[in-house]
Amino acid sequence: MSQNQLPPAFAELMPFVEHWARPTTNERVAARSVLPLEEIRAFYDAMVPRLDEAIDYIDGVGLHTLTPEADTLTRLVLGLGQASIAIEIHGAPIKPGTVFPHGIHVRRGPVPFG
Amino acid sequence: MNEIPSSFTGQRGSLTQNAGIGQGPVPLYPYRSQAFFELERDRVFRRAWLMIGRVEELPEAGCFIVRQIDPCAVSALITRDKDGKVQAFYNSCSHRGSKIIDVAEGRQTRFACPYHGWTYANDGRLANIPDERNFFDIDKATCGLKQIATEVWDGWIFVNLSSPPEVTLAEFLGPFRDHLAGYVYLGADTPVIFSATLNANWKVVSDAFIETYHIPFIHPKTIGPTFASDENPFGRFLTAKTLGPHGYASMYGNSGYATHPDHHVERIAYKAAASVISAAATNETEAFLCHPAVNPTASASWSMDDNLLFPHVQIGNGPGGFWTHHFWPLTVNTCRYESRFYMRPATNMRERFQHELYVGRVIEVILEDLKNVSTTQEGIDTGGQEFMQLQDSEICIRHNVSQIIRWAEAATVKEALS
Repeated sequence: MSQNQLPPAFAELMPFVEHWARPTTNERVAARSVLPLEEIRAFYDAMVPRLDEAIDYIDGVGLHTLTPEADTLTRLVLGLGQASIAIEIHGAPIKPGTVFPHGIHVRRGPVPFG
Repeated sequence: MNEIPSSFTGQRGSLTQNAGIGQGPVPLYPYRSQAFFELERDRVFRRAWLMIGRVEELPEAGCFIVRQIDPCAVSALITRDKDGKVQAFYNSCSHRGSKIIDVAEGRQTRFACPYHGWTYANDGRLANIPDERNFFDIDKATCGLKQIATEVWDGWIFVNLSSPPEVTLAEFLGPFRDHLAGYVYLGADTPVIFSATLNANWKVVSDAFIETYHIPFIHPKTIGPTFASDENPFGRFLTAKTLGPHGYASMYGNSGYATHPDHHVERIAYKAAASVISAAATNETEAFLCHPAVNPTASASWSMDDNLLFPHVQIGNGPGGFWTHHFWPLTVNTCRYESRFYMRPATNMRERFQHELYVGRVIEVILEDLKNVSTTQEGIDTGGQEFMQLQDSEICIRHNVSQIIRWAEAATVKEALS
């Protein structure tokens, strides 16, 4: 599926695409909330060293004129935003003492891929 | 008047005393009494001007939105007609009362009731009755959609369910108008919107957003480090003031906040931004930040301000722009919470990634509040406490509840506002 290809320079991140490269904020929150912390950390550890480079690649293509490969990479980078909440804020997939689904609905997210 | 306290740990502040709104315990019955809920619905929500949105939601003629005025069970259809006028109508057909539209927003200039096809123009006029000749001398001119009093101020759309309203919107807003006059609405046409239905009286939820005393306890990791510091460990206010039934508070921020060195994503995302509680680059927001209602004490240790728009809306100012919270009562102990964070669309991926982290953090903060409000309500519902003990930085809670009680007891709006 060309829709889920990454630019060749980021090919090593392919194993994370299926779970993390989601099209909306609600789906990315869910993606983070249902995984064990070790799996979130594996994604985080793989992505962080490539983050600046990935952002520059996407900006080279243009956020509003994405190629199919850059589109996948953009969704993957946005997935890291949610992964970072587990790793950098909670130290757990979700805020300890809360449940998921939690009832907060993003009716309209930031553009694109909100 | 807006003097910054010299100490955040010493003697009690004087905000409440200066406002002249009493300093004693505040009753809890408005948070749990069914009788009070009904009074509040009829005398507050049916008599006050209610802010329901912004004109940018209706960008051109032919646009419409449908909004639920919950405690009063009113579905309102708000249209923009060909002359540009924004007007609210009861979403109810003149034929047999059925709702004529069941979607949240769209573009159409005619509304046909799905039941029998009665059709209205977007200025409310009844345009067509199928098989009109079988009715009894019906006068179409008197069978338009019933209007709801509507006024627009500075792009904010207000409705009033009294017919006619006892006071004008200008009289209702009073000094609040001057406070926000000339405000810069950054990103007004592109809000990020959250909603949740909560198991708490709407005031329990509203109260959670107008004090920072709880932040070190409820939000220790998400925003605790940005709102409190060794200098101000309990996040005392910079200032607060009442403006008729409305008011505002300016909240402390930890100017010494630094990203933890291991928080690589936060560091990379925010390297071009003002703060972790902001989504816009610093250079975009100068005009906004210069407004006198934004950081009114011009403090270097500022996080945000909350502008209280009676009875149920808060307009927040932060380093990156503005947001709104709506607290809509459903029942005495449930409510619908809606927030809109107004953000300019990202022009590049670095900005977009900041927005993702900002929105992600906002969701976590709301989630922390959400968990807390239901346990607060359960505690209130035990009936074990008759009163709240409120400190100086809880002035907005004291003011809001006392105004709600005042309106619930007042025979007229003029009396409530006097």
